[in-house]
Amino acid sequence: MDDYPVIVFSDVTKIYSLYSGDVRALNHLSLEIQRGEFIAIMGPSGSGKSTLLNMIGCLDIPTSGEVSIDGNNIRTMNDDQLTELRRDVLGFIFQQFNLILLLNALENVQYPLILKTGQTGCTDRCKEILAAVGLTPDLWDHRPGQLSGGQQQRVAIARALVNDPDILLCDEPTGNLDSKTGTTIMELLTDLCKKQGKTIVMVTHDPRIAEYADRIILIEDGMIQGGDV
Amino acid sequence: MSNQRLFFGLAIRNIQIHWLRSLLATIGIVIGVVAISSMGILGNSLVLSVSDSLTDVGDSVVVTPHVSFHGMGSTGTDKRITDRQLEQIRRSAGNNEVVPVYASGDRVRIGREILAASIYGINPQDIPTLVSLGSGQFLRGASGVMVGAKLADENNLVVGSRLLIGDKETGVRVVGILKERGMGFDISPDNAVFTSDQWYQDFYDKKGYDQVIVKVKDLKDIDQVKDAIKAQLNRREDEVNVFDTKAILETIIETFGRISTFTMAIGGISLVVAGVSIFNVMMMSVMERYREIGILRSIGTKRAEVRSMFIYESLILGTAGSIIGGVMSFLGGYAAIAVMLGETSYLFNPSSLIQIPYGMVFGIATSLLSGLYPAWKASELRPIDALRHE
Repeated sequence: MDDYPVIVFSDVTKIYSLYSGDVRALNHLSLEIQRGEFIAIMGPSGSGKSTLLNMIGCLDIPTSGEVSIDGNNIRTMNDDQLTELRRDVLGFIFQQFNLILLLNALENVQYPLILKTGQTGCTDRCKEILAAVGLTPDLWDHRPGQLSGGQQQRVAIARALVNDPDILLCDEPTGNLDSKTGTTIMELLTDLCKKQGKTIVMVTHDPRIAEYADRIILIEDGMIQGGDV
Repeated sequence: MSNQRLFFGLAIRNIQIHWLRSLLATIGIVIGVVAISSMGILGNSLVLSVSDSLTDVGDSVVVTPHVSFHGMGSTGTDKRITDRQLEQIRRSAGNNEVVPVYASGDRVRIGREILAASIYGINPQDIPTLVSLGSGQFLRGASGVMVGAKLADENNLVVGSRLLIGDKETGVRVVGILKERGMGFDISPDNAVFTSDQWYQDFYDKKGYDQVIVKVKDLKDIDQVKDAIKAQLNRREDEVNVFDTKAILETIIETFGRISTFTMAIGGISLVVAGVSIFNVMMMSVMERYREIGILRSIGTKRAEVRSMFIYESLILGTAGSIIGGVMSFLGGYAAIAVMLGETSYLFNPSSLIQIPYGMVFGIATSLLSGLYPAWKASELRPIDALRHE
C-alpha cells in the first residue's frame, strides 16, 4: 500500500457569498489524510464540516488554496473530469441514503457501474456486493420506498462500492437509523477500511459513532480546532 | 453507447411514473400534428381537385383582339381578328391546331322560355378539337346546332329539339349535345349554343373572329407558341392579347396552395401550444427531480448525460405523440376531404400523404426544441445545491 496522503488540503479557504454577507466556511484549513485511514470529522452545525466533505467529494471548489484528491488538483479540473473522479475514485454514503427512486435496489447499484463501463450486463458483481453488505436477494428488486432505512443504507453502501473507489465519503451515515442498525452499518464500514483498505472520511455528530474512526478531527469556524491532527 | 440506454430507460420510467401529465403533453402533440397534417392533406387535395377539373383546358393559347383606349372610342367590340392575322397565328403555331372562334351572347327561345346563352360559331371540323360529344352527333354542315350539357339539361333539350335564336327568332335544330366540361378560360361550352362558322357569319354578318384558340399538343411548347404569336402580331403595335390557360391555371393552383399553407400555419399554432405544454411538463420534471439530479451528479453522472436523459424524455413524448398524430391525421384527413370534397382518392396521392411525415417531423422537432432548455437547466444545476433541496 502506498503511503502518500490520498487527500491533501493546503491552506484552503471557502467563502460563500450570501445576501447577509460573506460566510467563511473554511478558513485557511490544511489537512492530510493517508490511504487506508478511517477519519471522523466532528463539529457543531455550521462549522464547515460538510463543506470540507463536499470538497473532498469534488462537489465544491475552494476559493483559495489547493485540494488534492488521489493526486489530482481539483482546482485545475473541469466539470467532466471532476465528475469522473467522483464516479471512479470516490464513493458517497449520505444520511438520507439518496437512492434513485426510479430504480430498484439492484439497478441502483448497477447505475454507477454502467456509467463507468458502459455495459449493462454486469449484474453478477452487483449481486455479489449487495450480498456482501447484507441485503438478502428477495429485496433486490424492491424500490427504495419499499425498503427500511437500514436496507436502503446497505444499498447505498453497495452503490458506493461498486466502482471499487479508494475513498468513501460518509455524511452522517447512521443519522437516520436506529442504534442497532447503526451499529451494524458502522461495523460494515470498519470492515471495508480494515479488510479492503478503503480510506473513509465520515462526518458525524455522534461521539459513539466517531469512536469507530482511527482519527477524529474537530472543526469549528472553518478551522481545525483539535482531535488527532 | 449503452450509457445512453441507461438514460433512455430512466426517461421511460419517469414518464411511466408521471403518466397522466405525460399523456396530456402527448395529446397536445397529437392535436398539433393532426392539425398540421390534416390541414395539409385537405389543402393539397383541394389543389389536386381544382387542377384535375381544370387540367383539360390547360393546354390552350388564346388570342383575342387588343382593345386599346383608342379602340374603345368607337363601337367597342368591333375590333376583331382578321384573316391576315389568323394566317400569321397559323404560321406561328407550327403544327398545333388553330381554331378561330366567333363568340357572342344572344337570346335563345326554347318553347316559351326565353333565356340568354353564349353563341359560338366554329368550323364544324374544329368543334371536336375543343369539346367532346355527349349524345347525338357533331355538326356536319352549315345547318343545325349543338348545345352545352347544362343548357340541354336545364331546358330538357334532346337531339331533335328546336331553338329560336336572336331577335329574329331564327329556328335551328339540335343535332348534338356536348359533354359537360366545366368553366374554361378559352370557351365555356356548358351553357352555350355551337353553330357552324358559316351559319354564324350569315346570321350575324360579322367579319373577323372574336378569338383564336391554339391547342398546344406538347405543354412544354406553350410558351414558345405564345412568344411566336406575340412576335408576329405585336411587332409594331399591340394588335392582339395572347394568354395561355396554363398560366392562369398555375396562378389559381398557386393561390390554392397559398390557402393551404395558410391553413397549415393555423395548424402550426396548435403545435406551438403543444410545444409549450411539453416545455411545461419538462420544467416540472426538472423541478421535481431537483434532488435526484443532485444525486445523479454526485455519484458520477456528467452534465451531458443528465441533459440526454431529459432530452430523451421530451423526444419520447414527441415521438409517441407524432406517431399517434400521424395515424390520426390519415383518418382525419380522410374525413375532412370526404366531407369537403366528396372525394377521397386525393388522400392517396403522394403529395397528400407526404403531409403526414411533414406533420410528424414538425411534432418531433417541436418537442425536441421544447425539451432543450429544461434539459440544459437540469444539467447546469450545481450538485450540492440540488442535494440540499428537500
